[in-house]
Formats: sequence, C-alpha cells, structure tokens
Amino acid sequence: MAYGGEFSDHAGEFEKIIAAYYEDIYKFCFRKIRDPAEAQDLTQDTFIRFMDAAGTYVDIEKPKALLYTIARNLCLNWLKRARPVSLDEPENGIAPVADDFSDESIRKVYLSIAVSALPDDQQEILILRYGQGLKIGEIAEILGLSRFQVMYQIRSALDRLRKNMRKED
Amino acid sequence: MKQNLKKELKQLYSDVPPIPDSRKMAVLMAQARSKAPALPRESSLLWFIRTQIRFVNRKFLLVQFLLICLYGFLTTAVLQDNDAFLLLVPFAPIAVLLGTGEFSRSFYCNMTELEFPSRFSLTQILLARLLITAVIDMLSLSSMLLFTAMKTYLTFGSLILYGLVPSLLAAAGALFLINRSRDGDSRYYVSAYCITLSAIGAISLTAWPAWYNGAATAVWLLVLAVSAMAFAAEVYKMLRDCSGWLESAKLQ
Repeated sequence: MAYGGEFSDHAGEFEKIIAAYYEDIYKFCFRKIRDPAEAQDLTQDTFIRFMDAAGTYVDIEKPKALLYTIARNLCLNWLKRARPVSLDEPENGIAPVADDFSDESIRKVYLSIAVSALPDDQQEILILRYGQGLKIGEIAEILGLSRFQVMYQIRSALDRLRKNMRKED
Repeated sequence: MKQNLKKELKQLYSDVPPIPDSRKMAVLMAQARSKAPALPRESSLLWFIRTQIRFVNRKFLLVQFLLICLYGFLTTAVLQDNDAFLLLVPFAPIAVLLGTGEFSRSFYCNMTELEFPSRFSLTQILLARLLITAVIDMLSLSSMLLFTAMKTYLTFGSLILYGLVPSLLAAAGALFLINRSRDGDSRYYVSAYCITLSAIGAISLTAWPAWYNGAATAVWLLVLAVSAMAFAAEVYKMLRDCSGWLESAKLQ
C-alpha cells in the first residue's frame, strides 16, 4: 500500500500539479471573492506559495489539500482587506437576467440569496462540497476538522438552506 | 427535494467566468520548471503502522502479557508433562477475544477516535489497526505454542493446528459479529462467542478425546481452511464497507 501522493515520484511535479489544479483553485477563489481578475491573481499567488512551501513542508502527500488551504487563507486575507460590498451588489456573482423571468432563473436567484444568508463557514463548506466537488475527507483536511464534523456541518448548512428557501418561497 | 437542492447548488456554483488571462498560467509553468521539485517521498507502510501503535490501549498489551504469563505458569509449573496442550485450545480464543475487544472499541466509539486525528482513509486506518492486533495476537499464540512445545509429546505441526484453528474460528466469528453489529453491544456478542468457543475447547479435551487423534487431522485441516476463508471474507467485507461509509453517508 502506497501512501505517497500521485505526484511524488515524478519529474516536473510542480507543472503537473499546476496543470491539474489551476482551474479548480481559480474557481474556488472566484466563488469566494467573486472577482475574476483578483481570483486569478490569488490563484497565481497560491501556486507560488505552494512551490515555496513544498521545500520545507514535510507532509505534502496530497498537494490538493495544501493548495486549497493556501488558497482559502489568501481569500480570507483578501476579503478582510477588501472594501465592504454594497448591499445592492448581487451575491455570488449571480444576478437575474433582465429579460429572463423563467421559474428556473427566479429559483436560482432565491437560492443565491438563501446561500448568501448562511454563515461564512457554512457557505464555504458548501462551496467545497458542491462547487469544488471535494470528498468529505478532503474537506476535513483543508478545514482542519474531523470527517464527522464536516458531515455535520454540511447537513446543518443544507437544513438551514432549505429553511431559508422556504421563507423565500 | 433533497437531491434537487444538491443539484441546484451544483448548478449555482457552476457559473464561473473563464480564466481572464491564460498567459499568467504559462508564466507560472515557466517558474515551476525552474524550481527543483522538493516534495517528500512517499511514507512507508511501516511508518504509518508505527503512528497507529500509539492508539492501541496499553491495558490491552498489559492483559495480553498477563495472559501469557498465566499460561506459561500453568503450563510449566502446574500441569504435568503431556497435559500441557490441554490449555492451548481453550486459551487461544481468549487471546483473540482480547484483541477483538481492542479492535471493536473503534466501532462502538463510532470511529471518532480514529477519525479525529487522521488524514488517512478509514480503510487504511482499519487495515493498520487490524494488522497491529493480529501481530499481537500472533505473538501471544506463538508464546503459548512455545510453552506448550516444551512439555508435550505432540509434534509442533499438531500444536500449530490446535492453536491456529481456535484462533481463526474466534477471529472470523468475532469479525462476523462486529461487521453486523456496529454498536456497543458487539463486544458482548463477541465475548459470548469467544468464551463459548473456549468452553467447547476445554470440554472437548475430556468429553471428545477422539477430536485430538491423528485420524482427526484431516478434519482439523478442513476447519482451518474454512475458518481462514471466512476470516478473509470478513476482512474484505469490513474494508469494502468502511471505504463507502463516509462518502455514501446520508447527509440529510
């Protein structure tokens, strides 16, 4: 049984890691900060920090978890520095299209509002699970929680989201 | 409704604009090329198992040691020559019982103690824990065999058979029960099963001496093969089940 990461035995490891995860990390950053240009800058920064850390960090068996952890911290720092968002600004970058009043679009807007009403940590865990498609174990590793805590938080977030949606309905 | 919400969430999160400047990625790649890869090599299985040993309850090790001491004392100081093997058959399931007690603790604690400190998959952790328990049980059994071999007329081959069959029967049955009752009650079922097995072994020595004749060796070998297969099947079932527990667990 090998416990090494899938990249640990090959040359050009960093390039492979960048090729494999660049888009995922960009999407994650975008979902967190909702600004494409800034999200890409944070993605660049994430990989640069990852490459610097790889030389000293003794436990890089799963680069994915470390990448998400770095990206998450960078996003949190960016959000702290960023100016307060206007209340009129659409959440999650999703706004109803002016001439699109289909049920689906309206429900999407409701869902977006319901998600943005969740606490930050619950929003984050939903992004990781349903936006990034990460497994419970991976989320646990990134957030420094146990798998059971992650499962509990996802369940709580979904319950709360359902309640918010009912209110919107 | 529940599944719809998850689907809608996935759709909501799928709205991400394309990467604004693909040249930046190329720049990053060039930077990566110039850096020497410094990721650590893979961790060995031995290292992983060593990290797991610290989670084994010290009381379990102490009780195993006391059991061997008791066995050694009874075999060498109390029992007469040639009677030494009388203890092997009833004692072997007890050694396994102690091991499964340690192992099943993880189940009735809902795996929390295993999950909290670990970044490894449950399958890997359980496999390592099973291996540690099996090695400790095997060491106990080997010690018992050595004590017995010193005082008996039976060949070492026969002794191994009389030690292994009850152990494997106990281990396969215990895993069967643990796999099907993942709660606190499983330890009672396992205890009852192993003690019954031990009692049958003790009674059989006087009630059915024909079991220990040379003519019965073929039957012992058959039971050994069946119990080994049952044990392997239960280990497989346990690992297969636990690999699916978390990801398939219902979240709502």
